[in-house]
Amino acid sequence: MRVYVPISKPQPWVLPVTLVCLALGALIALMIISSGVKDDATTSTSLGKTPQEITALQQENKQYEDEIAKLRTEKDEAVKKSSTATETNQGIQKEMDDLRMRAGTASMIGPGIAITIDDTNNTKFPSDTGGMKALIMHDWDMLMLVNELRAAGAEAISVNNERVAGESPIRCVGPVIMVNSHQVAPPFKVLAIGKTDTLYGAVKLPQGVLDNLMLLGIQVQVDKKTSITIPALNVLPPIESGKIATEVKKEGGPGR
Amino acid sequence: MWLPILALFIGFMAVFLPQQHLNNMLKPEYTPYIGIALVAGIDSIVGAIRALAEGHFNDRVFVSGFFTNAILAAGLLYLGNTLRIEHVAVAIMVALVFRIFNNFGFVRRFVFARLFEKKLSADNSFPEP
Repeated sequence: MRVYVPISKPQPWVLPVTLVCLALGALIALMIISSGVKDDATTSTSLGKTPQEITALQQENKQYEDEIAKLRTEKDEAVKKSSTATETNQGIQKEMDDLRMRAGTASMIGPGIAITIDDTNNTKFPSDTGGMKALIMHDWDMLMLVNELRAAGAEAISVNNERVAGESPIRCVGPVIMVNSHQVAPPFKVLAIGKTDTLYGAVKLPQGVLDNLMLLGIQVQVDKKTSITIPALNVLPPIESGKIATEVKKEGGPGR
Repeated sequence: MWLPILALFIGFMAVFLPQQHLNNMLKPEYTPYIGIALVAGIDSIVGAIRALAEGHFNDRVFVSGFFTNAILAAGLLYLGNTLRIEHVAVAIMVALVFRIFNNFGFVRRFVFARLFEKKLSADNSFPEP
């Protein structure tokens, strides 16, 4: 059976169709490239990063942090070795240790309290309604707790193994709380070194921070400990803008 | 016969191979415009096949129609986006796809008429769609 081809005279249409096909091919290629460009463009922003990339970067960060910790211990040992010689050096060493503990660059051990805060066990509000939002531990709750501990004379504070020092921000990024730019998630374990009874009394204050949290059904547990270890800050932010003032000028308002 | 297919391939390669240079120029926002131009081009081609079947194919009409339709479709989409009219792309796609299906139906009928009912001539073989 002969299949009939409706085109009888091929000559006149070959050239225009060639022209059109050229343009069509270019259009298809453009389409493919531009839909591929989309992926490239989104990966250049942080939002579009693939989970693998993020994990790789986190691992890289971890490696660098480990390296920093290693170098710091090496430096500490070197300083200790060189300063044991004379009495002046020992004085300097003592003062340095004091400052380092305050700044958070030295890990500390001592008596204190351990506070464990877990999610609410209040099931009255289904999680898909707005009610749940009020029933979780927020960044400001954490800030208030840390502030309370500081007011009670805590010498070192850590949240989920993140040292909270003078420059440590506690903020909320999306659904998680960030301490020192590290994500912390429930259950939160807040450790504080200081006078155990004072700290315990401060956080157990009626109508205090933890009391208000417990009203929401958030599970809080406070334990007195004879010895807790709090890690040092992983990375200190560089000081770029300020420097040590040689003469003291009072610029603040009244109060002193 | 093979020249158009070769041209399709050449046209594809001419844009696809130097894409490293195009990547900087080409933004993802352009994708809808290229897509709508592509659909307009396909519409022109299906229309041309129908015209061939009906016997009043004109190459100038075809070539001019192909390019102007593509540019017009992309231009209309740009106009709609500039005026912040929503779903302009959908509206254009509906119009174009309707035409494509319509014309393709004609072509299909024509081919079937030629294949299975040879007694009928091409001119009176079109029942109303």
